[in-house]
Amino acid sequence: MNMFEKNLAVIASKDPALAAALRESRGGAFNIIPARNGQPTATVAGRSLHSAYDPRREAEAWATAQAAVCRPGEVLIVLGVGLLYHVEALRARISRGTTIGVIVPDLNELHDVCMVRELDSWMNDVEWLWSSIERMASSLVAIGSPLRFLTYAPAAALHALVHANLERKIRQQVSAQAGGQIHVAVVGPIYGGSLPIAKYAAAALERLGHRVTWIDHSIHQASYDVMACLKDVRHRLTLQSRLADLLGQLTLARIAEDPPDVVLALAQAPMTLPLLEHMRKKNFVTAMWFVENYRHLTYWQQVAAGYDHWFVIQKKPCEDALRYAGAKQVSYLPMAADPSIHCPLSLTPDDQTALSADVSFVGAGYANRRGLLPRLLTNEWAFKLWGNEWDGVTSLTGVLQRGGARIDTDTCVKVFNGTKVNINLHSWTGEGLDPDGDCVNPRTFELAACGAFQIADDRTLLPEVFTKEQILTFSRPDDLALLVRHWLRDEIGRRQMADAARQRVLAEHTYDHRMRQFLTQMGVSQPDRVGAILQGERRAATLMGRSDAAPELVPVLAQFGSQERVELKDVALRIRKRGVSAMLSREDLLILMLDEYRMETRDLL
Amino acid sequence: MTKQVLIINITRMGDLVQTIPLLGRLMHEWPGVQIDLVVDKTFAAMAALLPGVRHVLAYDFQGLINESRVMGKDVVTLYREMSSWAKPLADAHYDRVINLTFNRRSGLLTAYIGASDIRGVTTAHDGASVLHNPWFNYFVDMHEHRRFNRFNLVDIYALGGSGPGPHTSLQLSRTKAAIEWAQQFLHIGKGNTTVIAVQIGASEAIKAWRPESFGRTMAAISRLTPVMFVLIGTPSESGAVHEAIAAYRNAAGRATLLDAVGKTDLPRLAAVLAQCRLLLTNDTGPMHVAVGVGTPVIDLSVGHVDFNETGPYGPGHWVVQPDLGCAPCGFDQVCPHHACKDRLVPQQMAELCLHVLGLGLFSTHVTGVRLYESAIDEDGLACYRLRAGHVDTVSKWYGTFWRTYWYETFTHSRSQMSIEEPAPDLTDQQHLFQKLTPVVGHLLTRTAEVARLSRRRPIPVERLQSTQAELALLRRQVLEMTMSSSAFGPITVALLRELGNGDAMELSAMAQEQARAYRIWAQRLRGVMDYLDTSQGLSAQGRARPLSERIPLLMP
Repeated sequence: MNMFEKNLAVIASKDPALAAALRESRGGAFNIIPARNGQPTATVAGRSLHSAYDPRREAEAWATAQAAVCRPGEVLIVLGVGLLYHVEALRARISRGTTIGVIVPDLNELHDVCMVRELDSWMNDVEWLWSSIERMASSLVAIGSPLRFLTYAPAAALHALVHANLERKIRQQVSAQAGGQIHVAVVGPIYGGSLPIAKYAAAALERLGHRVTWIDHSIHQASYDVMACLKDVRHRLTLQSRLADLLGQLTLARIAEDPPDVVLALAQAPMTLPLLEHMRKKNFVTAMWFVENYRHLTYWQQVAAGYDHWFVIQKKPCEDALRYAGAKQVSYLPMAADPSIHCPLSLTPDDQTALSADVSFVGAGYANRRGLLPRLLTNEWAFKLWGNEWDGVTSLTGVLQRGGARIDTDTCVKVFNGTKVNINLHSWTGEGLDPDGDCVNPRTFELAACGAFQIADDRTLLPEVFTKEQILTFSRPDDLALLVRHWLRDEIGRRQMADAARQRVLAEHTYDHRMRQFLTQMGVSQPDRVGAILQGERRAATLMGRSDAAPELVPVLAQFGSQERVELKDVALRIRKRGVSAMLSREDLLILMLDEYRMETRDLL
Repeated sequence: MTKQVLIINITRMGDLVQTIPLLGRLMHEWPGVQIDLVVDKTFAAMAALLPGVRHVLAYDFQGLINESRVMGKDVVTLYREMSSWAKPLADAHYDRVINLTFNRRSGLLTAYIGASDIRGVTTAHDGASVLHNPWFNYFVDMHEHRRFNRFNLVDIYALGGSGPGPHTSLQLSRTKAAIEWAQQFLHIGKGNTTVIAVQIGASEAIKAWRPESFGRTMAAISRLTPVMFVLIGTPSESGAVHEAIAAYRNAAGRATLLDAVGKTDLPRLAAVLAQCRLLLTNDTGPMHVAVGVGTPVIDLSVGHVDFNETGPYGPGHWVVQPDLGCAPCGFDQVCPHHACKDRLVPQQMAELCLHVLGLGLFSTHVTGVRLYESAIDEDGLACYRLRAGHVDTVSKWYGTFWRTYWYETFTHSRSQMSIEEPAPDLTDQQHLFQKLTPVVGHLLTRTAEVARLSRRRPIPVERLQSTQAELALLRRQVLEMTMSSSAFGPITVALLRELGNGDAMELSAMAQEQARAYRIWAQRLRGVMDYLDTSQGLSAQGRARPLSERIPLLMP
């Protein structure tokens, strides 16, 4: 019996259908070559899936790191097939009682593995998930335990889309089962710092299993920029204001097509007060996460009364100011980080050369930074300055990177990771340190999530989110260079603080945490709507059990899964799906009539 | 036994006022009839002013839209609230339900309530919307050939909801409290001057003349005669009203402006309008209210408004229609220019106002518009007589022809209207009919064949399908030939609606229904052609005769 047949026999003993399907598959997904140590390794389009030197050792390192984060009771799902060295190593490090599943998007890959590697019985201690995304998601959700996804990046990259779809499907199904799936329309700005935050918030809501309509206005930035070139200020402001009005109407048109439970706008989203008032009249629930310093950006005064709920990154004076301006409900919701974006990583040699430094600062040239950062110019360490709007600060020209161009998030993450001491100076338009410095900027969380060491200027709200053992702060400009000097010499101390800060982010300060807090708060302030949905009061079983449920509705509701969220449109859809040959009952007529009213949109625009 | 009728008229205030002649007609048809009226909550106060209504059954339909669209209420609550309101209506066992709200959702409500005699939109067994009553069918069809329609909605409501009968004018009741309020309100600064009401806003921007033009018109009037203006409207129209006031001041308007915008509920609005000598207005609900309290109206019929359908009802009112190829535009038109509004010249509008007030001569030297005066025609229906401007001969001739044709077809009675001239495009229509005749023959053969095959058991599927395919081809051919024809288009529109308006539950019955619709259509084609031919001969004799004497009544 050759290797392929032997392997198939092992698989067939547990999953005959998979064995049969593998026999039908053609293989040829990988280019198989020997590694230096003689073990087979694989490449696809020139990219290695495993080490070209010692695949097994590399897999063991990966599996050890993964096993460290796994918790008892979890089901582990491996993304990325490759030649399964990593799965074998993981299986060896995880107790037998823990289920490990491997997603197989392409059977030809598993076929290739069976051709070149002799697989032992461990293979039958693994669940092979190889059907449609829908079915894989359903079977994983049916397990009922917490799922932890472990990504073996070189192999997983071949099927990134499949994995993303699967994850989304699983989260949707989990939430649907829980009956608490919320539909949130996230409205982003045309440009600016809140744009990535809007994307992180949207991604977090999806990760939590909610449905998101992402209303992206950044695609209109080119038009906005063209207007910004107009020399006549009046023309520029008039046209930019009209564009903002138009985009507000576009937002309304989008939500008219698929009305959400909550509209969450991020700071600078183009939403005017008349638009918000119109939306309130039409019963839309709106919220604003104002991820800006309210003292610096003051347009909130014009729209304070428009949103049902404000979320801000500052406390007392800010909350009072908003309430005074007409905001009905104001809650504190600090910034956060997305660990899938801001994470530890190793720099390539080229990146090391270009991006690493002893000391770095990334950001725009606000007045306080222009005054403080020249103090870091010394021969004692290599200082790199990244970011834009540094014109006129001649002393910093020598350290300014890329001619003062804006740098993207990926580069930022690399700079953070490649720097021994990151300087984090909150923006301020005055000299020295902001005397009213309260809020904690996103950079603080992002540096921490990267596992990067930082020295930040003191903020009154910082102790609530990080301890002194996690983030180092300074409160006098003169102290900055002294601290840099000291901590550059203490590599272990830097690592300890950075690790502690990262653990704090993972435990408390991700966008997933923030969006959970956001929804909880919305649920409290809208108990009959958002709260009711989150608590599963729209589930079929709950609706059927209601004392005021008309008896004639019960058979219709019984057609849904008991944990499924059921709305008027769902019931109407079931009736319509019966087709033209079905006779409508009088109750059906009433439901369809209600649904016709639901679909009306002409009064919105 | 006392008859009970339910009228469903949900969406607009003006439509409610336009229902008044129907109420009168029903009382004439069934003396002692008990009439209930379903309206949106917003219009309950107005509905209370309609004469002869037993119960006004108001529901917050706009609130329902707002709640259901955003899932503000769960399905159980929405259902419970609606059924607790609607079930008593179903339990009332009305003798007739007249649905004057031409949309799918009201059709579902109508079907839920049910009655042996349903008129208007209702719902078939499978959920499709169906229309009952030829007048209400016509109401839907007429939008395909609007330039030939000469029936006012008020008459369609009365004829469809009841039938022919004595003319009833729009007459609204007024409450004592509202009259006193209006007298007090208008007394401020009134003296003995003439009061003109002005309605600047409209439910849709496309229906509203430019606010600036209103301002300039008022200014021109104020320079010619001592008047006082009372501005009416809802709070949402205040922006447009402020624009008009600014234009009025810029144009040196010198009369007193009394701002009633947002200050009147519907009974007070009626009382204020009753105190005015004229209302200058867009086509709006207040226009019909003014008619209902006997105040002359100048209706600025711009955008997609067609005064023939919704203009002021009864004699003594005036209509201004832009003379522009695209006017009136279609209901769902999104117009980028609103050029029709610039056809109305403020100075000329001011002069028309003075004429209507009896303070100036009528000038036929108007430009860019047509002026009509409203009247009652020979059959007792609303009509508009052209007083200035020009109408093309085809629209004019076929307007009268179709008005007469449909009246006789639907009422089975003779119209007193007469047509003096032969059809202006007679030769074209004769050629078309010659080409059409053999195709129609083939088509009728195929429809009969489909009906025959669908009765056979087992059904000869392949043969049936091939015959249906032939039928579809022929149908496409006749549609191309007839739809744009002024002589055959309107009856082909009726055919298309009829083909989609069936309530048959199985194939054979459906095929019979369709064959019957085609037969009626063919009879109508022949009948219209006969009349067109005859009109040529009659013209030679110098005398026209009622249509019904020439053409057999074609209603099945």
